[in-house]
Formats: sequence, C-alpha cells, structure tokens
Amino acid sequence: MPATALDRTLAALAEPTRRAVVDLLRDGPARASHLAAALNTSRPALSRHLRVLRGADLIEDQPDPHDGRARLIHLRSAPLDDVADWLTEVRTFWTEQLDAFAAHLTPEPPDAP
Amino acid sequence: MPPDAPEVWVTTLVPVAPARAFAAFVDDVDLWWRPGVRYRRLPDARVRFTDRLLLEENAHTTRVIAQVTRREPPTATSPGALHLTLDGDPVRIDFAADPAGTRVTVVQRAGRGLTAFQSPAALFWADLLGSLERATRA
Repeated sequence: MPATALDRTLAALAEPTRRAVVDLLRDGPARASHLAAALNTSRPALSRHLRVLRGADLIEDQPDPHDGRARLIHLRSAPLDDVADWLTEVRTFWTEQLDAFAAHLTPEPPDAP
Repeated sequence: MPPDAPEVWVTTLVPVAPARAFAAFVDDVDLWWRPGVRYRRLPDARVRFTDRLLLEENAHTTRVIAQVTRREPPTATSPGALHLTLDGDPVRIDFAADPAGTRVTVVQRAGRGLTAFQSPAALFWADLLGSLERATRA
C-alpha cells in the first residue's frame, strides 16, 4: 500500500471530530446539517472536517434520493480497506514468524514406542 | 482514547526462560526465520542480526530487512525487548517471564512519522473496521 494513502487516511482519522463523523456515517448516509447537530458543532467547523475526510477519500457526497436539492454524505470503505489490508498482512507475517520461532524452541515429543 | 495509528499485536509462548528466548531470537534467527515474498527472498539466503541491522545475504547480495534501534536483553528481574524499524514501521518485540516460560509479543505500529499511540485503543480500530466492513457490505 502506498505510504501516502495510508498516512492520509490515518491523519484524517487522528482527529476526534472526524472520527465521530465516520462513526455516525457507519449507521448510514447523512446530511451535513444532521452531522453538525449530532456533534454539536458549527456548520463551518464541520465543513472543514468534511473537507479533510473528502481529501482522504473517506466520504463522498451524493444527491439525496428523497430531496433533489439536498446532498447526503456517504462513507467510503476503500481507504480503510487499505488499513485493514495492512493489519491483515502484518498480522499474518508475524504470526507465521512467531509460530516458527516457538517451534524452534519447543522440543519435539519423543517417538512413540 | 483512540490511537493515532493502528497497531498489530501477535504473541506466542515459548517454553524457555526470557534470557534464552531473547538469545535464540537473535542468535538463532537463521534457524527459525521463514522465507517469504518480502523478507528472506534471496536464493540460499542466510539471515543474521548485527548490532544495528537484521540482514539477509547470500554469496552475491546483502539486503537489510530491518534496523535494530534498541536492544534490551531480559535480566533475572526485568523483561527484555528488541526494537526494530521494519518497512518504516516501529516494531517492538517483548520477552516477558511467564509460568510456562516466556511470552514473546510483537507489536508493529503503522509508522512513517505517525505519532505514538496508546495501546488499549487498538480496539477502536478493530471495531471501526469491523463495523465499516459490515456496513458497506450490507
């Protein structure tokens, strides 16, 4: 995974309000006004956070199917898929290495008579 | 408090004392380190620690697998640790006494300048990723 993509994702999620936005969007898409109210933050402040999340490709705007004038903010999974891939790859690598290390230090049982 | 970067924790138990486990990890690395796509990929490669590096080498080539940033061999009264930098990620390998021998724990944190983080919050990442996966595949 390119370091820059991972860094961008993690940097975006390093801020508590942006994590809270992601948390809320896990329940489904939402309007910015709903997010601002739920987080008790101003619309300008929320807009700044949403800009960072868009820059990291963590969210995207789509038209609200029930109101053509409104936009809904959707969560995008791809950047976090990268993080999940990193976690899986590293976990698998070290699990295999530590299994081999443990086997190296564990005496084999004697052959049965 | 959630982490600033995700970490991976992997642990195993070995039936020897911490000092022996630490020594085997370092001195016997060629005997147990598994070949793979990313590390120990040279043909007929031997793997060894120097004071500052973990290397794989054959008759023609030497590659650096990791930098050794700190060695803290276990003592009779304190656990030990080996600190590496692997692909830009900080890695800590702990050797802690256990009634059954030594618990060896590897912690690799997503690195490259990301700030340090507090371990219990690793659950935040697991929870977040798991929920996200469920939400996006529903």
